[in-house]
Amino acid sequence: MNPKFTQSEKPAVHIYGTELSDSRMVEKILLGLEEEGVPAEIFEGKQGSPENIAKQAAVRSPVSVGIGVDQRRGVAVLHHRDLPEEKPLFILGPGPLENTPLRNLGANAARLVKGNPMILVNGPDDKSNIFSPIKFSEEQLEQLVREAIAKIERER
Amino acid sequence: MTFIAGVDVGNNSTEVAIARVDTGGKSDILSSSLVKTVGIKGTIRNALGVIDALDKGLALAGLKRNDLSLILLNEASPVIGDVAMETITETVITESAMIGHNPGTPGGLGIGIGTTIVLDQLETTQVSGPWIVIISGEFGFKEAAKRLTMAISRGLVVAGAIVQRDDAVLINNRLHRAIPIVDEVSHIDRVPLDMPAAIEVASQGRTIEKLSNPYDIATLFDLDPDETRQVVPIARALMGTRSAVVIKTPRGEIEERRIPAGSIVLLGKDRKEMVKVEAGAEAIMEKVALVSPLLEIQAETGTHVGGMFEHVRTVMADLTDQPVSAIQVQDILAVDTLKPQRVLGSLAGEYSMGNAVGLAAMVKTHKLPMQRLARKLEEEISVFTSIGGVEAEMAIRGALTTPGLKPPMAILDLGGGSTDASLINEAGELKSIHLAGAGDMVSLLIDAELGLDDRDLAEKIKVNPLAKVETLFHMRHEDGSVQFFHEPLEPRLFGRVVVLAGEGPIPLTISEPLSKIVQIRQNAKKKVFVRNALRALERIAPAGNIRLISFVALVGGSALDFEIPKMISDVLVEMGVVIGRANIRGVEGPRNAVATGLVLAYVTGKTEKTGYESEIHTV
Repeated sequence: MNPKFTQSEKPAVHIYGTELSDSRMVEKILLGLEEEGVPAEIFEGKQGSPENIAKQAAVRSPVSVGIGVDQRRGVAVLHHRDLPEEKPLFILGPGPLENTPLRNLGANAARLVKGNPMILVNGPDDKSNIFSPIKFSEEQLEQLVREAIAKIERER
Repeated sequence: MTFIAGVDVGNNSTEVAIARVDTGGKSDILSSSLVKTVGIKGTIRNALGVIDALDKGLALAGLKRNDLSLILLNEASPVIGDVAMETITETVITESAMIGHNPGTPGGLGIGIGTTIVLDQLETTQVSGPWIVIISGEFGFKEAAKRLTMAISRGLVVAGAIVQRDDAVLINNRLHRAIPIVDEVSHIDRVPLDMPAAIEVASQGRTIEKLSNPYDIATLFDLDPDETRQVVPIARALMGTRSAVVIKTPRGEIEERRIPAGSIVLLGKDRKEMVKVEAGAEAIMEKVALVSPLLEIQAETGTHVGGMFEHVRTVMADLTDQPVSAIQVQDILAVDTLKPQRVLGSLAGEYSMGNAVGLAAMVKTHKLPMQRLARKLEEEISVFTSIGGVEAEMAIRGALTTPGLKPPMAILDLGGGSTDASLINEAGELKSIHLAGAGDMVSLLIDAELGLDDRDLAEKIKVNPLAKVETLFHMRHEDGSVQFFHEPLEPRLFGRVVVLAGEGPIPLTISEPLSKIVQIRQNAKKKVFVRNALRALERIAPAGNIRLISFVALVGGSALDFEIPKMISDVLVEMGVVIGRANIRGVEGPRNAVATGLVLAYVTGKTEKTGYESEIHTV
């Protein structure tokens, strides 16, 4: 018998991370899943980058969908078993994150399981958050540009 | 030895055939090309497209512009079509009285009946109910669930709830007993208070049963027969939804009313008929057949249909430099259709399917100013340009180069604006006809029935197959086959029906299932193309009998459509007609018929002329 089925795991989206017991982020993600009627299970104490643990969660999830949460940096990643680790479906953060995007991430995890269309921030023709949905704040952008310029100057 | 070019300017594409003509009058077609027509057919702007197509063709033949000694233009049929949509029925609800929609995730199950009340007032009321609670967006699901639970523990009966946010499942999961909850009601402030209301939520995969049945509504609200008659439009609008609310208001004036859509007068050769557009397509087409042959159509001014006829006349008058009064509408095609319409007074953006009539009209005038285009071309590229022949005649000459064809044969050109057909008999005599209604009409029907309001997208749905993206790595095509991808598909495509257009899959935001969209597309094509193919062939067939035409060849762009040829074939094969796509010169497929015909006509004309001259010599 296939060992995968002997564990009799419940069909659920897996959520990985640390310090998740009282996490507002996880709470909001769970609401999105609940409204869409898809169960989730939380696994505490998983170490690694959010992309990495999201991928692990997806691989372990019987429905092949996982979410990685980095509570401290405010990052949440939605992953699927068949996607390469470095290319998750959605990345939120680094935070602080608002409630609605987190709830939408949960809803999208559920919709990924059900095969229903995703909720996209800027409507269905939104191309901005395809595969590199990291949204930076202005300070972060400024910092990135400064680093890039410094790098170019060093290389001169 | 000289080089000549045949040029066919069509509504959508401009086609060229480049030929070498030797001194003996023998011609060889060296190359052909096709570009998109620039500007409206018959205008000077076409020159841009013609030059582009010529350059492409010349390059393929290894020639330069100054190698050409003659350009032959088609004498384009001076017809132009236009399409319009006329709504006949709509549902108007003057007092807000229903919500019927398919929120992704309604809560609870079953039917609840009570009086509407806002959440705030539920706390203070002394009446036990039953209540239908209205929860506006200011309340989170926790707060809402807490207050509902408190009210229930106070002994109130909560029969159901109407929620503004997408919270139905969340609220329901926090109640001790499930109640039907409808959510995502955008205009919650418009829900009338202190009125009897009923809520119904069906289980997944099912649709509501009670609120879509007028007698059940009558039972729930204790309606008399007159009132029952009035709720019929509501019941009809709610059919097929997963959740619904019906609220009885004292002056709930719900009515289905006929919109005066205007009338048209059909002037035939010996009779005149008037028909109202709201009578529907069948009635209109019956009258059209009755007055045939049709000479002119007049539409009531100040109505929609009048505006449409005015528009085609003006465009044609501009194009031909003629007064509007000289332009005559010579054919119309009417098609019954359904058009989703926003229900006036709706609470959640509901639509109901209203009856509509799609109309295509075609006007004919004396001559398109092709001469002007010829002069313009001469100016631009310094090659002698003349009008080579009448389009229909040239097309049939070109089509006759298809292997396996002989007269009596007919061609069907299913274009964008009009459906054209020509027949050549054994004696070489020609007969041709132009009818209203073609590709543009199909796009209009698809646009209207799917409620897209985007003609470009409708056009794409018309010409491309569909698929459903089922996972991140595969899509299921409309024929059931599955295609896998190595790279993941974009999230915006996931779970959606997509149009497989050349530039990549386009996701459709409408929620109709793939099978329904396919059905609408195919029906639109049948309603227009199959019907017009038969109409056109009947008009040119000997004694009006299609069975007397041995061969029918499809030419033009629509012949390349992935399903139209089969639809037409299905009908004509039963009549014993050989029907298929033309294969011009055995290589071009259904393209290039007119351009090829122009070259052939020129060469034949020349040799005939030489023969005539030599005859004179011998005398």
